Amino acid sequence: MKMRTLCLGLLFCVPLFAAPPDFSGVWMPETKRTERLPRSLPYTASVQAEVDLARKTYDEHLDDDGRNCLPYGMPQAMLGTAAYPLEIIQKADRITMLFELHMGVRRIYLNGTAPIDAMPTRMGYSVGHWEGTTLVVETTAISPQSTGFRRSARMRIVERFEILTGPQEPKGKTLRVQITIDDPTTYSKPLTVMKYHTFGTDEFKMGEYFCSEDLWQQVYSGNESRIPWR
Amino acid sequence: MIKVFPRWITRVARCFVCGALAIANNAALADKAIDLSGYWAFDAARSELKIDASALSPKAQERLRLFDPLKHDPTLLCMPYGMPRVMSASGASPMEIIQTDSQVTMLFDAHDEVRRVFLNTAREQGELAPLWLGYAHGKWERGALVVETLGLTDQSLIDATGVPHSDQLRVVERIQRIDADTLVDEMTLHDLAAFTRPIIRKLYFKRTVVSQQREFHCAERQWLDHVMGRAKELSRAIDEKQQGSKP
Repeated sequence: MKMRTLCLGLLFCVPLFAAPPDFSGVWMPETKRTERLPRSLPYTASVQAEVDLARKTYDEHLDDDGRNCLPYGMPQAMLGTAAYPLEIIQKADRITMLFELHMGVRRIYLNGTAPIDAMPTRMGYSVGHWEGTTLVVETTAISPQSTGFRRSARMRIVERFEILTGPQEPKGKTLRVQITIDDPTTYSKPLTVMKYHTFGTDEFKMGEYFCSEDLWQQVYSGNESRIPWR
Repeated sequence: MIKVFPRWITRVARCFVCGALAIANNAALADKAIDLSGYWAFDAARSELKIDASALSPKAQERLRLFDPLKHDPTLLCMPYGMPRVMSASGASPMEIIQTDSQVTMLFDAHDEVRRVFLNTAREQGELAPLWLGYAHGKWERGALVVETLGLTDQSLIDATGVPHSDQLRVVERIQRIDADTLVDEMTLHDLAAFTRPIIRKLYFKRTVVSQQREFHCAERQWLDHVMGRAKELSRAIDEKQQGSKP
């Protein structure tokens, strides 16, 4: 009896002490399995009225953060499925996510909790911990100044990062993230989507993305200080 | 042994052993990575950045003469500082260094610039499209990170005064910690088209603590004005709607 209890106890301990998997490398959004948010989101009654009005005047060229050369914050940075790679650098105390799109940088702190007075930023303040081989990240202090995705200062995002391996996975390795967005001021119920990333450190290279490059080139071509070198 | 072999043979053998030991010792030092990770604030007061006009080629001098900081600086249009200007421009907010076995990553929050120093793969000049931060390859050498950066666009500047460079610019840096809290970047700029001789600069950084990384986005100010304008428009529309629905 004692032996059986011990064995069972040990079995339960295995996932707790399993070494955290390595998320390091370059990943590309996988569009096939990635879920999208529904077209009509479950807005709360007061927000719905605002959304209806805003929709009438919304101009995607003027009113989108990205088109105004601002990096997408949370949750758009994670929800996006455009073919731009994401680089993950994993250290014992922190995970850094570098998005090629708009060169967004996201820091996930693995020790401690979010400070009560965390300054609101587009990426928010992310704190993560390991539950066995799953990385659970909670993000708060997300600044509400982006219009592309409606949010309030109360928004809280919980992500569960997992590595899927096996012959059925493209290139043998997939990063799956379950994203749950909870914002009772804006949405009547939490929103959940599943996002997939294909592994490809050797294949995908992180490039430079400077949003105003086109505008700059137009100006630069007429720059009188630019006398040719050769 | 001394009796068996003549003295000169033992001497030669001893020389070989000492030489081999010295080489092995050097190799061990050369391979050793040092910890550069952390937040580093640029120390402008201590850094040696002056560029002598005689180091610039006639074409570079002409470009510098025509340069108008209110018209020709790429950062006016939210473009990045690029290499090498980014290294000496992080005064307001520190750079963060993240180090792994294969890559040293430098993050600058101004203009969201990310610089990667690859420790495995080196490239040749002209192999890559010109980039603002170029292609950087590094290796550990006697307690320092030695970085060579190539493939740089000639649209970026060396500093805010407008010192130009060509796309042949090659930046060689020797980055090391002289004590626990001081980082030194000895930078040599090689550019046959823009400079008459290599330009040597010495950049100092002080270790700093950042509890929460702030975000700086060049277009944020403009965006906030836009969002505020839209919010006003929206609240006016809501007011009008409410007034319209009243009997």
